[in-house]
Amino acid sequence: MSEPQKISPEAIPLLCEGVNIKSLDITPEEGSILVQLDGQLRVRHLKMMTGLEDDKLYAILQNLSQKGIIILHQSKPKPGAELKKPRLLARNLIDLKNIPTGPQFEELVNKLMDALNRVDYFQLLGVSQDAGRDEIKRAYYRLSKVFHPDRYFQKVEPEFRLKLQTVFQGFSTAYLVLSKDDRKKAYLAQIAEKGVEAAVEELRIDVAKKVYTGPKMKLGLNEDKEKQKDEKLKGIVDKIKQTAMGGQFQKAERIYQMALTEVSKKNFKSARTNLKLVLQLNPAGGEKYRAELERIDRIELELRGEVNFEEGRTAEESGEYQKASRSYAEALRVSPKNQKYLCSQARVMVKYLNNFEKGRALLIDLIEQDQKKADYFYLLGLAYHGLGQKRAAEVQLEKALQLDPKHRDAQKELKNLKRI
Amino acid sequence: MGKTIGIDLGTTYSCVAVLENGQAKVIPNKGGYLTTPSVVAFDETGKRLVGHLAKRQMVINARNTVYASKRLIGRRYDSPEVKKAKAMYPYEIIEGPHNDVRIQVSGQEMSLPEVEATILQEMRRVAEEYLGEPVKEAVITVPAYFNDNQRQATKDAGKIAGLEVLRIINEPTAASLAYGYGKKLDQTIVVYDLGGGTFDISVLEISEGVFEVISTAGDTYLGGDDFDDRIIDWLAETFQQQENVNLRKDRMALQRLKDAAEKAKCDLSSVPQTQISLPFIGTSDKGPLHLELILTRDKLEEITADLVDRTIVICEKTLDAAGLGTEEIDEILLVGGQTRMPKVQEKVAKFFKKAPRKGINPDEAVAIGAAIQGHALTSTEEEKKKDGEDLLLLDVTPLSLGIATFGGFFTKIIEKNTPIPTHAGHIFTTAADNQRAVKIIVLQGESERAAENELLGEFMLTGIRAAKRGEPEVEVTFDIDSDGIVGVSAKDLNTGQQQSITVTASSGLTEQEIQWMVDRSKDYEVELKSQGELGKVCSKLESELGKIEKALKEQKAQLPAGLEKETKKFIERARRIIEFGDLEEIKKLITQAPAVGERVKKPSP
Repeated sequence: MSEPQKISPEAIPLLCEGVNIKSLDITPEEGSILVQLDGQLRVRHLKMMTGLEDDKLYAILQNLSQKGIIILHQSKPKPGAELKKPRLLARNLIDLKNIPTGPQFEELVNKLMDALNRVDYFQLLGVSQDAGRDEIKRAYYRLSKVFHPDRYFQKVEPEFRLKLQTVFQGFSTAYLVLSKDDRKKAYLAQIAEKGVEAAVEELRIDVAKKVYTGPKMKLGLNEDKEKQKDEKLKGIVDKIKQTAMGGQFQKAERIYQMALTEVSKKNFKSARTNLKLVLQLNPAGGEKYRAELERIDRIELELRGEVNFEEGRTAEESGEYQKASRSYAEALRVSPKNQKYLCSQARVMVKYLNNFEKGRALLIDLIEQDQKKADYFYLLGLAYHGLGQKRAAEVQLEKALQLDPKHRDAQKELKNLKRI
Repeated sequence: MGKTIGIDLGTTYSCVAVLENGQAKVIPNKGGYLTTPSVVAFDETGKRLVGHLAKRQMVINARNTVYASKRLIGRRYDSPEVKKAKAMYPYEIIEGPHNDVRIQVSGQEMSLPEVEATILQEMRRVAEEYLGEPVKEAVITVPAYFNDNQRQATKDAGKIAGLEVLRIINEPTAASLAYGYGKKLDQTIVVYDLGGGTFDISVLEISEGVFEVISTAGDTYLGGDDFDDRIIDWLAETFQQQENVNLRKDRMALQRLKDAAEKAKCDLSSVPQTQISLPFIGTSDKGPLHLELILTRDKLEEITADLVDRTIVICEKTLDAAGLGTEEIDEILLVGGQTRMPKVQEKVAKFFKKAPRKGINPDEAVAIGAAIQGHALTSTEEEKKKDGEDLLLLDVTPLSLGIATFGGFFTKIIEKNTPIPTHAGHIFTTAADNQRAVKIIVLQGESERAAENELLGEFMLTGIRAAKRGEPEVEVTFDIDSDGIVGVSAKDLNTGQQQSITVTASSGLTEQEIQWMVDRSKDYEVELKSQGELGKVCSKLESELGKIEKALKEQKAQLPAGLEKETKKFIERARRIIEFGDLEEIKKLITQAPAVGERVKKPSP
């Protein structure tokens, strides 16, 4: 392990494998740092948590690293570092005849993402340097047919889609250069002169590292306020740190437990305040606390939705349909996909308020969720009837009857419709 | 669930198509027409009319009839195009809250996306009536040369119409799909698209089921409408010389001139001259005046020559950008109604040294292409195998995207004709110590001067950490998605934190406004019911039912049980019919009701 010249605040200290802390001869200060390491914590997090001075912290880390107890994993490699990686990818980057599916396909995409910064355009497209325009075009088309995001439209997670997009963009950039004779010539010249690495680096896809100096901005009042708020909060945290040096994590945990009690009592406001304080005290444990905050938001919302729904139901039973519809709408705002809410709202719209257009929209949402409920199709039939689209109404009512041949309302309505 | 429809939302006409069993089908509207006029009107009761109904009453209700709304969508109120439209169009154009354009009709204000949504809703209805099932997803076409604002506004219109817009695609590209679908082509083609309001040209390579756009260009304010306007000018001027009366001042006369101009233009595509006669078009001291003029094809070609020439200049530039000569083009497709003009065909043929391809319908190809793309996006592997066609569209961004830099210059970040989706990063830093925010002005266009390009938005990058000037490094990423719509995001490179960006100037609608308009468009059905004939007959039937109920109560003692039950059943059914709002059935019940009442009053033993 070579020694880093200077420790970056972004570095992640990792405990070396096979080291038993208890058997080591270390200072209490070192020990207090070692127990914190979880493989995610960065140097700047440690600084915040321990409140140690830069020099002191760096000295401890340096020491531990020299003893071979920790290694400092650099999340940001120094420029040039990545170029030293072995060139894993040879000419045939992709075997188009054997495109894997599922997780292996994802792996391939990840591999390509990585390769984009390392291989030259010829390798990327899988063509030789003397390939003609037609051959280059064919290669590009075939790769596009596999990797273009449209091939996975609405079928993959947005995150993976973005990866596909980047990979596709890699191919299209390569194609744009290699398919034009003058650009291809210039690219070849660059490779000849500076080597592949430099060429790849220079023409990298999205890292046009031009520095733009923004126009001089006058800072508005709001930002000053924001700054003041930041400083105030920092002051409070500092105070707690001073009084409970080292013990702030325990304290954070205690406040967190208090917050949980408040949640169970449905005291959401004070629970939130507590959690925010906890976050300040122990930002490194933020995941857990933030999740709890989100959970509170959800619980509170769901409760509100249920209350609105009950109000709507009561109003509907007493014939106050406008009011019912408003309450259902409130409930839906909380949980837009709740079938119970959607169905009630649609029923009121179609049966009592004659708002067929809205009813129709709601029912389509519902049917998208569950295509086995005869009631939904029946109501959709009514909506179409209301909109004067008889054929559509008939089709929907027939669907309802297919699902539930004994659906009396649907039978009646269909008979009625056919008679007209 | 449901099928994906393709909608060609045109300046003058719109068209909807669907793909069934691998066959593209243009869906006719209730009147049996394959295209529907893109016209929205409000009658004196405030009722909304769309399509043929709206177009038919245009002459008598010019003030409240909105046409050619596509020429205004996504434009800024202070743009020259809007100023021109204000002078030409009989309906009222006003300024909206975001320097956007609004239309004032029948006392209510509408945004352009709302007007377009009304047309989209009508097209959706046409499709639903034909398919017999709800339609939720659509691919909508826009001119290739539409900028981000115009695309965004069109997408908003889809949202307001209750549609999930799967994709916005370019009209010439769509036409190429309609032409090449299922043909297993290996060609380089040009699509020349001169529609009602816009001109586009795209150069594509088609091979192995891939449709690749190489370059595209156009003019979003050049189309058939401009040809009509030239005829109107000619008619109005000639008339003024003869009778010394200015017809332009009279909205109704102007509307009649427009109708006559469009008709004459169409006639002249097949005959060398046509008679335009508009009786009682104006009045003078001597009494009513009639317009009687003969327009020849030669005259039409003379007064519109520069318009056709403008398209040829754009063709030349586009071919240049593609790096191709005319001899490398295998086919030329003509799309858009205006390409029926013989002079247009002649000039295109002369420029490309090749006759344009016959056999694709210039009015329907775009909608068909949209339906094909919708199907290509949503179909499964098995379906693709069954269809025997597995296509992929590779389109480009028509305009360069960039930012305004110091001194009023425009720095391009993504060049035009870059394949989409695409993204590009740019690193920003501060100019002053402790500067906490940077303003980024995002523009689209080709001019070196920032002010001459289209402003997409001003973004404020806030919350930059306090540091010495030049030290913070914020990477701003510009995205252009597959719809050609621009997105901006930012990241602090030193901390890895996502930066917040606020749009401080944009002509688009806010999310909240869109939601409000969605609700309003859904409620519109109810409005109609209460205002129209239906409302009247409903209350009439209701009062008849009231009479019967009263009689029932009075006669309760003498009534035979069977008759009472029967009568109650009648009332119950009638109420249900009122709920459904079935006009015909309600009318029938109104005629039956008095007899039922009589029987209750005088029950026969």
